[in-house]
Amino acid sequence: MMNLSRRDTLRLGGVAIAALTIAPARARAETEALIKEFAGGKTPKNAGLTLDIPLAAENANAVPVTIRLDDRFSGARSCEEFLLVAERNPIPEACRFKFSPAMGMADVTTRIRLAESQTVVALARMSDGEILVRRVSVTVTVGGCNG
Amino acid sequence: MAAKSSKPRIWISNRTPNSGAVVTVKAMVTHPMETGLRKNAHSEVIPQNIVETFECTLAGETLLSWQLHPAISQNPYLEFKFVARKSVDLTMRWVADDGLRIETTETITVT
Repeated sequence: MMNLSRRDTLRLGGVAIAALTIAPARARAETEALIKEFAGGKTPKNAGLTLDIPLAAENANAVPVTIRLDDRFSGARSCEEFLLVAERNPIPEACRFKFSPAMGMADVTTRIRLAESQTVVALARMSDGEILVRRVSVTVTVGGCNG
Repeated sequence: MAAKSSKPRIWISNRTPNSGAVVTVKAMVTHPMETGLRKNAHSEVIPQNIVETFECTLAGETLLSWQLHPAISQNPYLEFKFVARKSVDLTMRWVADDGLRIETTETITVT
């Protein structure tokens, strides 16, 4: 058992509070970096992409998520990749999907874990370089990463 | 320790679609998707053990690939849609970080 003086305890408390306030900022920075790398300098457009996820997650260990490109692939325009980010998870990058033009469409569903209430971001990179984005804020009552 | 390999559960909306029809595939494998962030009763970190990739190929060409991270729930579930153009054998393969491989092939006949 460690012996902590009153002063040490106060100092530790201070460190803990600092860590708590830094953590969200760090998570957001990591998400921004991920998005920047995915977008390759382009500005994401908020259109053409659907992110289907419950606004209030009943079971944070398995939250159903659907990412769907609204239009089918046409001619030379197809979707190359989806990126799903949960910015306040311990590891923000949730998953990526890569599509062949032969799929004809991009519509995927999976189940993810959410550590706490946060914004979930879906991005799509089109074959012509256009980046689409959709953000949804999800409320979590019991987190899904430590249980 | 490698997880026990089990048969994937696959559901296909229509195995004999018309050309141009949308086919939905639902696929699930049994896997703990251990995040590597949890501790056991002795405060030791439980090592990460996740399915890292899923790939769906037809005639050697990759149709869809999925890169998984610990945020994906236990028993990873995937549902995807594609436009049926020709009769194909769809091969689906899951690979975990401990080398576990699960593979299955489904036939789609376009009528």
